Amino acid sequence: MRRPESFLPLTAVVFEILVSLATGERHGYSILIDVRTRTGDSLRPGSLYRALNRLLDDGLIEELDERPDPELDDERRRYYQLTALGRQVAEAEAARLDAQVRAARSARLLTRRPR
Amino acid sequence: MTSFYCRLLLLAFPRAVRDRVGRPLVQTLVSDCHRGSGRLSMWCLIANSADVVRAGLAERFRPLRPLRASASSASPPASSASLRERRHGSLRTDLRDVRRSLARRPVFAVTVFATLALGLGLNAAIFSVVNRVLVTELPYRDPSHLAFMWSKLAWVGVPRAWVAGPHIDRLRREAGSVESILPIRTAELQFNGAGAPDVITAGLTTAPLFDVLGVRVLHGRGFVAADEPLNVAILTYPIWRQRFGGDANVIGRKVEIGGDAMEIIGVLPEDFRFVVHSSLGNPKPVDIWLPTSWPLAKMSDSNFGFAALVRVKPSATMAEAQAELDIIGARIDKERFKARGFGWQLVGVQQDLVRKVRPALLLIFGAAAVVLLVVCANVTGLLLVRHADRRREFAVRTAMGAGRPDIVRLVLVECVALSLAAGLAGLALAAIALKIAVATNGLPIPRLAEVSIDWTAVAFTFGLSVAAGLAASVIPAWRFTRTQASAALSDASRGSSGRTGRARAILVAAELSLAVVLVAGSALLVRSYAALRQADPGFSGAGTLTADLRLLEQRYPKEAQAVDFFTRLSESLRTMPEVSAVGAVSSAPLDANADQGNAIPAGWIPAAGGPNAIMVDAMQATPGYFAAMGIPMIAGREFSWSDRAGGQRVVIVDETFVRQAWPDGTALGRALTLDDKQSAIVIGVVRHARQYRLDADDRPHVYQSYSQVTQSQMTLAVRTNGDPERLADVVKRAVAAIDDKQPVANIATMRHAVDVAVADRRLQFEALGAFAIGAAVLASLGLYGLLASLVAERRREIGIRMALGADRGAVRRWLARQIVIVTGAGVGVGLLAALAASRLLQPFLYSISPRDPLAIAATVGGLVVLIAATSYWPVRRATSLDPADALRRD
Repeated sequence: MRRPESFLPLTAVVFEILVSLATGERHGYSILIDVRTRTGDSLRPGSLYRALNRLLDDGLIEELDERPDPELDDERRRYYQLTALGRQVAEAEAARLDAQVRAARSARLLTRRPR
Repeated sequence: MTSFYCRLLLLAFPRAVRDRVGRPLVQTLVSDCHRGSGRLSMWCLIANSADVVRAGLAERFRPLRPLRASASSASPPASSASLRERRHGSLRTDLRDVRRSLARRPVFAVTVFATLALGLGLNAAIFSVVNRVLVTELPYRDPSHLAFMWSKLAWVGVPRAWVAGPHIDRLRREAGSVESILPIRTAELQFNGAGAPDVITAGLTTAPLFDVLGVRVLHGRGFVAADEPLNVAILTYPIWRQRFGGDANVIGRKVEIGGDAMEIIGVLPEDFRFVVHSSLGNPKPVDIWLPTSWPLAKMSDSNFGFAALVRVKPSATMAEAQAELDIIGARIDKERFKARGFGWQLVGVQQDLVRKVRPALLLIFGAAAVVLLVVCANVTGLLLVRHADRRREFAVRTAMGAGRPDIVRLVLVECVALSLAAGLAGLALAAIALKIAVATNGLPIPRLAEVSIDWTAVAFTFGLSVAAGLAASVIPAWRFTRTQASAALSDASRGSSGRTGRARAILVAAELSLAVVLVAGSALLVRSYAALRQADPGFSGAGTLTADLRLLEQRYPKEAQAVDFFTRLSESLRTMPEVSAVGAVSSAPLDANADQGNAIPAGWIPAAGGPNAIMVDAMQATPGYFAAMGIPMIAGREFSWSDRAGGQRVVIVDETFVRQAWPDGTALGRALTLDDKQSAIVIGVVRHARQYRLDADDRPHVYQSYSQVTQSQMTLAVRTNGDPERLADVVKRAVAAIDDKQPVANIATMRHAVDVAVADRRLQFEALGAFAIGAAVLASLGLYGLLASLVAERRREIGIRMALGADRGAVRRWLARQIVIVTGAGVGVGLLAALAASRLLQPFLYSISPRDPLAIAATVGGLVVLIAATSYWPVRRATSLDPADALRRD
């Protein structure tokens, strides 16, 4: 198995998808809405699924069964979840970003105090 | 349809990806574009489509393919770093090349993009209308089993009459394939209870209408059988919003309709649109529905008084139902109508609604397709010029190992990519154009309000974009497979290519001939429209204002009171200085609302086997009506208030009636009998004022005097020498002075009525005319480009000729010959095609032959002027050439 660090740095879209799945399994549309509301970016389905396909290829996420989403429209949807490797990669990327943010803060690029 | 479109888009992705995430991706796409509201968001759709294609192509070319063997084996010149970077062989590099080469020629790119966007947008918009209006089923349960039923009365030449009550009753009992058959009528009723008193159109029907249609109410409940004799009403969505502010608590409220208190029990949903069809006039939207019960079996079987909605049993087909109706109809024909040709005809609800607009829409759709062809030819011409400039580039590529397929693909990809981008822009244009068309609602097309860009239109435009891109680039691509690398490289940059010139000349000729077809077609329609506007409709309503007055029986119970109302109203209006004539009639011209009846002229001998009475439109008119409507009196006098009820009945007939009843031409003083069996004396003869349509309508008219036979629904006609619209307030005040509770409805000018009557023809010639102008402009741009490059390429040759003593006249003659050959061929072929196609136009023409010489002459004349104007500058440039300068340049 590849070392988690070998995937870094992640693209912004891939990282956001991993963050989205870190809270639990989701289907594609749910990821799309989650990423959009969190980041304000307009992620689009084509780019999302291109990224999901690569994540599946690399073994960072895995497919679950199809099942209906009662909160949406009860249509059967394909769910995805993080693999152990995926979680490690996401953690490694978060740590990398955190180090960057800390460096930026000590260079007084960020004035607000962390909570 | 949605999934079909998405699957098309998904083709951008490699197969392995499609197999894995294709299905959820489609689901997500659909969810995303229908976010929440369920309505398709156009912008989201466009952005998502572009994103899928981009992501898919990016994925497809993720691992850069290695250099092709042929490309790497040819050793590139070391000095040319940029050439070495070029990789032939992948779509990805092709797309990059396309981007770069288009950026180098922005004018070319923008021109091609804009013409394609306009052509594709036009087709997308018209496709959306055609698809929604002609193809999409009406929103009823199983609409394929719903039909209107019309009576056929062959012996009086009426193919589309309403249905008689006893026949509905009989079909209910005898027709096994018919699940239900509903009688429907409309009535203009006075409405009090919310807002100012007004007149509304009520639909009267038996209880199960909404069950038969399969429509659920928005609020409250639908009718049940027990409602029939009760005073309950169901509101349509628009009147609920306008009059009751969309208040859901309206259920249970009492309102006064037609003088009776009615309880509102339901509100129909917004998308409910059911129009009651009159046999000849325009379908009418209904404001409010009232359940009614009629003693159908006991009514007269010669009073065809109901529109009939039929639901055929699910187990039977429409054809089987029609066959059964034919059998029962033939029985009734024999029993009651002396086998003179009675029958019924079922027409599907959808077909019935679009009956009038269908041919025109198809014509416009076809014309739009022709415009797109001209666009494609134009783009092909532009590509040929552009690729002539790129011959060196292609030759270098070939020398470096690019195969012919690589060059072909490059040419195709460039054009298809541009065309797809133009298709997206076209969709946006179409969406905007449709929004405007729907908002202004000025087009005489049913269901226009429902039209929008949907998945089907997107898929159609996508396919059309690819097809147009391929069509425009296939000739240039094919030509370059034949370019010899060595020839192209050695042939410096002078680049005059006789073959390219010839191909472009043929393209320009083709564009011109397509333009001629459209111009000739619209010239015919314009001529026909002008002829229709000039034709005498039997009335001259330019200065006439009309308004509907319905006197309530509750408030005017006696006929004498109603007569008194109109007498006083006429007198008060006549004294106004701006009013020149006043009258009223039960059905104004073009109203299509007259009652039909049978008239038997005294001493008339029916033709053997023919009808025993003359079917007429029977109307009631007050004194002064004919002057107010501008209907000329041919003989005799108008009615007078002294024609009293109880005295000798008097009638005025029109010229058509005289021709049929008394061919000797004398009518005054003769007698006739109408359905009320009372003999009436003819006191006047008037012109035939068209009652249904401006173009064809010849049922005879008989007018009774309002002072002798009253009618609750009357149309007031007031004539002025000035602008009739200014009379509206005068009329309202005059009515209010006599009875301030009397509503005045549908105030309109007769000029407006005429405009409405010709609106569909107007739409036809305006649409076709606009397309024709567009096609002609494109063709002339093509011609200009051809001539300009011809002059530029031959400047050296022209210079030599002139240096050797050829005068400017010779140069001009040479150029003129080129122009005449190209345009002559184009216009000639176009005229032949136009003559062949003009048969298609026959049904749209009024009193004009499809080979109308004036229209053809105008077409040829117009194009000659356009061609001359287009040729002026190139010819001038060629003849004003300085020979020394032309030679020096090379």
